[in-house]
Amino acid sequence: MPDLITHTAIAYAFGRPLLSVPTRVLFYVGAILPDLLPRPLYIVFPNLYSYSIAMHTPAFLIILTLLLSEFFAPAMQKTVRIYFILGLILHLFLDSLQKHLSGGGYYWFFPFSWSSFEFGLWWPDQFVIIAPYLGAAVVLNEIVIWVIRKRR
Amino acid sequence: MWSSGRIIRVVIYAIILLFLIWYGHENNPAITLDRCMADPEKYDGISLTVGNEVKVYLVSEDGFVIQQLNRRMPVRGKVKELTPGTRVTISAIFHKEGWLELQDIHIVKHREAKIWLSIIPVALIAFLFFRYFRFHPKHFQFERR
Repeated sequence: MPDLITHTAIAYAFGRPLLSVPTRVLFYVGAILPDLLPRPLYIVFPNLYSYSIAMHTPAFLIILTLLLSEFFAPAMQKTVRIYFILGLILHLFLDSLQKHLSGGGYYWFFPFSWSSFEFGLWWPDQFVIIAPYLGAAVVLNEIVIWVIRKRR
Repeated sequence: MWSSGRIIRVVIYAIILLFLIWYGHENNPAITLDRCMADPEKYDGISLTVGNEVKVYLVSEDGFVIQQLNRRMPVRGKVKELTPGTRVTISAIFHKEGWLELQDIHIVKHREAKIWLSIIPVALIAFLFFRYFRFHPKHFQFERR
């Protein structure tokens, strides 16, 4: 996986110009959602790694989105589902750009198939190098927007 | 209060999620060191990738020893730049005598940085989320502020 700064910064690049603030926040949550459950689990408990496999698959994440949306006001549920899912599609797409030694990738059709796929362009650790620059670009953009608004 | 339909949906989704977690654990076809060591004869000569929490324990003349959780395993194959503590992912052939023949290696860099850097956006998004949404305890749901 790319680090979450990279995921968030790229979600920001799409969300900032296109979406209103609350919707954008839901999109950002969706963009980090695929890593929120499995990564802490196997970083803290590495021997439970095999239990985290399902958590990074589209099927699991879609059901999780449906579950989480139930905890929002009924009038918001459709919006929550749409933007969580758009966010997680972006996340999974970015993850699919990576390469792994096994040539494996992610289980897109789990639980129906164990076949996996990735584009294999970069090692996961290569994203960390650009993360500070992406983070800085987001902060800089927000400062510029703030200054422009204040001058008006 | 929640409708009975909503409660039923939550229960069904939770059951499906638990099933998927269990299914992934039970049926993952990946060959792991655990599987190989549980039945060395069966997996002798098979190729596998070892990458979950793998560190170099020591470097020897003909290779190195990896440590994955509490297990150590000698790997034959010379690699430059390896030092004890280096995180690696290796592709190797398993031998029933209890060693691995190196095929390919990737030295994992910046893992700790990746973990710590990832905390920043989680905190920022959580802050933004609770700025625009609040949890209504009575309705047990998030609502717009």
